[in-house]
Amino acid sequence: MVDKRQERAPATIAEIDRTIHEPARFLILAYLSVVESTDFLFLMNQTGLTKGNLSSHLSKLEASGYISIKKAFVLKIPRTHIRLSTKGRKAFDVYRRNMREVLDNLPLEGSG
Amino acid sequence: MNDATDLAHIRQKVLRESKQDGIIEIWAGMFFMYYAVFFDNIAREIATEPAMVVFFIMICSYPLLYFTLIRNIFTYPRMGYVNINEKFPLAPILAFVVPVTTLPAITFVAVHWMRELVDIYLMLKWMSVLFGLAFGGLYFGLARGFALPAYYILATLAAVSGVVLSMIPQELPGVTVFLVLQSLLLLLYGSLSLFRFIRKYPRPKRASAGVKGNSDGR
Repeated sequence: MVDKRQERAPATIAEIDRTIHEPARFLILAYLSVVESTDFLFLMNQTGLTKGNLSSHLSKLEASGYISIKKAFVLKIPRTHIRLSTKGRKAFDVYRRNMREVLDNLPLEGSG
Repeated sequence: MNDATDLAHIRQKVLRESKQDGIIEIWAGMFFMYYAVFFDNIAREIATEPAMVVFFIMICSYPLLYFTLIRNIFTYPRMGYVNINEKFPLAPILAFVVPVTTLPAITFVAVHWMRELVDIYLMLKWMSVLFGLAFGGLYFGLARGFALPAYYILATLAAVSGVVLSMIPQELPGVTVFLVLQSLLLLLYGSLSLFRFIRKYPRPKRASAGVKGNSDGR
């Protein structure tokens, strides 16, 4: 049986998802990928981003369909649940794979 | 970038951050102090008072209060909310819960119905070894499962003190002294964690909490 990875050409720089490639958005998705859900405050504390910066990146990720943002009430306290969507998880995994392939295929310093 | 791409490292960090308010450790300290009083009562051949039973029920119900109410009112507004879907290290928890619940029951039965057959003081003296190993196993499991490095130190102290206290002749039963030591350690660790938590995550002011009073700033 042929390994499916051998059938696909290695990823190129052009295939890198630019929505995820931005460092702040990558960091946000990295945190969301290891949790079930979180809220804005926790993400802000963990990523070190400012409120406005985080809000802007979350809006972009939501517009891309990579995250879902839902507001709920817990003990009458409003809470915003942020979680990685199925599409976002898949895109994140693809991004990580593509980045590894791109970096692995970069020529070594001083060669060629 | 290397740090960000290490998802295992991020998960460990999130696990650690989510457990740092110290409240459960403070509760555990009080819980084991109760146990110390219980075993001391047994050693002094004082009947277990009804108040002890009531207190036991109250202290056992505290975790429910913590997870449903206290975290939502105190912890999450400061730190933010996170649901990790963590895998509880079941084996060390069971290895701890079983002896810690059955040994007091066995002691109670021994004191009330088998006093002529059993040397209670000797039993309480050696019980510290079992408790030491149970505590050590639990702390070790929690340290690995929840990425809490300080718990490795607690694990070592628990195992060593459990063995040492069973060998040193003393007025109080070894298990009583062991539980007092554990409760003091946990109260100290929990208090320090709580103090650090409050300093690291001051309660956000309402004005900066975001649109229309959202507690999480969005």
